[in-house]
Formats: sequence, structure tokens, C-alpha cells
Amino acid sequence: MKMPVRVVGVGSPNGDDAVAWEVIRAARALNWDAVELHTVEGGQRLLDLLDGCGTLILIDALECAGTAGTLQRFEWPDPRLAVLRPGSTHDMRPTEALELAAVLGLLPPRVVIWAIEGERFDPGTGLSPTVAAVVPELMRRLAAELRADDA
Amino acid sequence: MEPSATPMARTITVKALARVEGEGGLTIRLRDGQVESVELRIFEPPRFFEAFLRGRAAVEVPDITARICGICPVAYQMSSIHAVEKIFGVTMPPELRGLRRLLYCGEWLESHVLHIHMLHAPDFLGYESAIAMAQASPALAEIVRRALRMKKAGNSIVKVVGGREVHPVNVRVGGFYRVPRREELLALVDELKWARDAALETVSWAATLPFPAFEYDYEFVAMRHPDEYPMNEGRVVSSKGLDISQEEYPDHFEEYQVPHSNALQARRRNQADGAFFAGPLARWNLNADLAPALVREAAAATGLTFPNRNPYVSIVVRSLEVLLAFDEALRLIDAYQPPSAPAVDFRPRAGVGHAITEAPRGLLYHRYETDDNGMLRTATIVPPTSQNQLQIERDLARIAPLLVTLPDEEAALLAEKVIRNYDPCISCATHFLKLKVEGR
Repeated sequence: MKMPVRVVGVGSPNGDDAVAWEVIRAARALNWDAVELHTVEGGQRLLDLLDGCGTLILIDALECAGTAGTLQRFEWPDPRLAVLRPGSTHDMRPTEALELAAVLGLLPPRVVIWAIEGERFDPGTGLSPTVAAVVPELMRRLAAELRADDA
Repeated sequence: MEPSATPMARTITVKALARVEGEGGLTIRLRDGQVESVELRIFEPPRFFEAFLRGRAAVEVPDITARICGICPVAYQMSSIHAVEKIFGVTMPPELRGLRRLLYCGEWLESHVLHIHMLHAPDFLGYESAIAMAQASPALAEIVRRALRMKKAGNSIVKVVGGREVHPVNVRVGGFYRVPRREELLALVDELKWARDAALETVSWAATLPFPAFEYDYEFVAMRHPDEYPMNEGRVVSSKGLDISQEEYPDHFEEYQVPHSNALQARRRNQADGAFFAGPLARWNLNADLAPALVREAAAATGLTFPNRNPYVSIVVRSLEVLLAFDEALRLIDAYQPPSAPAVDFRPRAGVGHAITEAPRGLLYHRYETDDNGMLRTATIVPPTSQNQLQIERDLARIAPLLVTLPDEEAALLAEKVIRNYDPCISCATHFLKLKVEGR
């Protein structure tokens, strides 16, 4: 039996950091078959979601100097992801969690990361119009990704 | 880190203290090699929880205060609920009381397993992170793998009893919104039994870590219950004779403002210094006799002396409390019979309620005052990290003479290790860390 695909949105309620949760909310309405949907706040919880899936698709907002609303796709391992690693606190960034899981041999066979560049991350600001406008496009690409994975 | 030096002066700045929650900093000032002052600076902005609780319904408090901390939301829920229940005259039936203790076991497990393996053990073994530690050898990788599985077992308790793994939503003033079926809890038992065995191995491993000589005559403060290792209930006792009710806490402890920090610090009232030590080491030193025989035997087998006055030994005590929490969870599940109702009725009324519970990192005090309609007039929250801040400063002052003999980077790492003995959750105290040592 094919192992399920797990799609995990990492984020928070703060500004564009909520975009991945918004994507998961939209995906829940579509009732995708054999796709598990989860939201988490950080990497620690991501470590709990690695068992028993064939493909892990991670969605996360990206805070960097690029253009807000830009979509980026990474397939683990990707050296560009190393620059995303910060000093750790009680939680881990998703990339740290993936790195630890890789060291421990716990990563699913395939890990895809979709990142959306945000423009504001302050509490109470909600999604920026620029980032909100990208959600439908990400949903289309995600659906295409899932069809390709299923093929 | 930004070092600077002149023949007589020295400054070490650590841009951020790794592996501690929140935003803060530390400055140590030396004059002619002697410590002049040590300041734990919390520059994470105040979060105003106490202020915006005013005017809310007391029944909303658990869900609001749970948001203070992502690591210990259950502690905030428990202290707040107990304080409000005292005002409303609610008495918990034993089944519901047991479920709350089970939920607290889940939170201790999540927090302690994380701190032992991901945050603290790398300090002892000289690795910059758990990732580096896991890369170092297959044996260490297996220990981290075991930790992740143990933590997941803790998560499962919080999920079933609390409704979800993060920021649980199922507890309420009066009890729970929904109580689990017995089968839901029994489904956890096999994994919890594995985890209890794994926890025994963790105790043995933690006891082999190299502990720096660092003993001091601390005043340890923790709760004490006549019949059980403290989590939710008990009096407040200390290693120097304090024995008070929860209601007497404000008479013996005070919060005060320090210019260098956004977080209030707590100290013992009417004491020359006022610093005290809360958390796992204090709990164990004051309550080890109440631990199950399995845990007491594991403690004895470590070869360490208890009560113990070395804060580095906290990592062993956390592992003992992990063992205790798994054992306790299994006992509670075995005894569990679903209550006839998930909550007891109550009527909001005016009054004042104080409650203290044992968060993973120490005492968590809440006080609320309500009006006739059960709306909050005032709220006071004293988190464990506020309570330990002064003691952390005192510990750092003790190692400051050593710090100046070390290369800057080593000095910073040593200071960080001392701070992490307390597993400070700076976000809770408002509340993370840049280290600055100034010599003049």
C-alpha cells in the first residue's frame, strides 16, 4: 500500500506567517484523498509528523530580502536551506528539524518545501494582500505536486 | 560574540544565548577582577497579560493564560483554574483531579525530555546543538531518537486529555469540556510502558554526564503535598524552614522592578538577599520521599547524593521526573474510571483566589480577584523564571571570577550552561539573551 502524503503548514497567526495555515485551511475544504493535512508552529512538532509518510510537503513563510509573494520550491536536501538555520531556542526552525531528522535517519523518502516570501510578520496584521493573492497559485502547484506524486 | 579588551578592561558580548526560550541578555561587570554586578536583562517586550485579563470573565482565564507559553501551557491553565475555582468554591471530584494530574504529567514529559536532550545534554558533552550531538556517534544518535519517541509519548497524553498537543483546549473552570473514554487512555499504555523503560535508561545515562563542582547553600523552594509528588496541590516549603499555604505566598515573596530588565524579579521578603531556587532540583530535594519506589531506586542507583546542591545535577533530576511522570501516568490510567460528568457546576461570585502549581521549571503563582459576576478585577502571575532570575544572577556572579580567566568564547559558553541549569523560559517571564562581561 502506498504511504500517504503529509502536507504540513508551519506558521503562526502573525501577519504573513499565517500563509501556510491558510493553505492548509483551503486544502481541508478540498478533501484530497490519501493526503494528511497538519498545521504546526515550529520544528519540534514537525519531528512528531515524520513517521509513516512517503512524501512530506512542508509549507512555510519566508522572511528575507526578496520580493514579497514570491514562491520558492526546494527538495531536501538543498544547500540553500542551510542559510535559513538560526540559533535554536525551545523550538526549532523547520529546517533544523529536518536536519536533525536526516541525521537520525527519520526523514520520509521525499521532502518537498514550498516557501512563500512574506512582507509583514507583526501580530494582528493578518495576511498582506500580496501574499494572500499567491495562495490560489500555491494551491494549484500543490495539487499538481500531489498528482505527480500519485502517478 | 563581540570581544574587546584593554589591559585593565574586558567586555564579552553574546548576541543571543542559544537554547533558552525568549529574548534577553546578561551583563557581568568586573572591577579589578572582582565582580561588581551581574544583571540578567530581559529585553523581550512586556506582554501585558495581567493587564488585559482585567475585565474578562474568570472562566476565560485558562484559555488566555495558556497562550503565555508554548512549552508549559498546562501549567498556566492549572494555576489559573485552581485560583478561580477557589473563588467559586469548586471542589474537584477525584476522577477529574486525576485527569488533571495526568495532563500535567504529559506537559512535564514534553518539556523535560526536550530540555534534557535537545538543550542541556549538548552543554555537558561539548556540542553546539542536538544535531551536532546526534552526528557525533551512533550511540548518541540513538539517545536522541529515543528522546523523540519519549516526547511523542508525552504529547499523546496531552492530546488525549487536553484535546490537542499544543495549547490544549479541553480544561475549564469546573473540570473538562470532555473526558476521555477509558479505551482512549488504554490505547496509550503500551507506548507509555516502553517510555517508562526508556526513561530508566535516560536516568542512567544522565548520571554519567560530567558535572562541574558547583555546590552552594541554596534555599530550595517547592510545593509539598502530604501524599504525592507535587504538581497541582500542596503547601509551599523550603530547605530553610519555610512552610506556608498558597494564600500566604504574597506575604513571603515579592516581585520587584529592576532597571535592567523588562521582567519583574521575585525574591523572598525580609531576607538579606532574597534569592531562592525553584524547579526540578528543589522539588526533588524537598519531595523525593514521595516519589514511587521505582524512581527512588533509580535515583539511588545513580550514585549521586540527594538532597543535592549542585544545579548541574538538575539534568538528572529532570530525567527522574520523566520516569516519575511516565510511571504516574500509567498508574492514573490504570485507575481511571470516567466520571459521570466532565465538570461540576459552579456559580461565579466575588472573591480572591491564589493558586500555585509546579510548572516543569518551578513554582507558578496566580492570584485573581473577581466581582459579583465573576469578572476579573485584578490578576497577578509570577512565572517560575521570574522566581529563578535572581538566583541565576547569583550563580553567574559566583563564576564571574572564573569567566575572566577563560577565552571569551569559552566564558560565554560557561555562562550559558549555568543559565540553562534553570531551563529558563524567558518568554513566560515576559520575557532572551545577550551576554556582556565588562571589566574595569
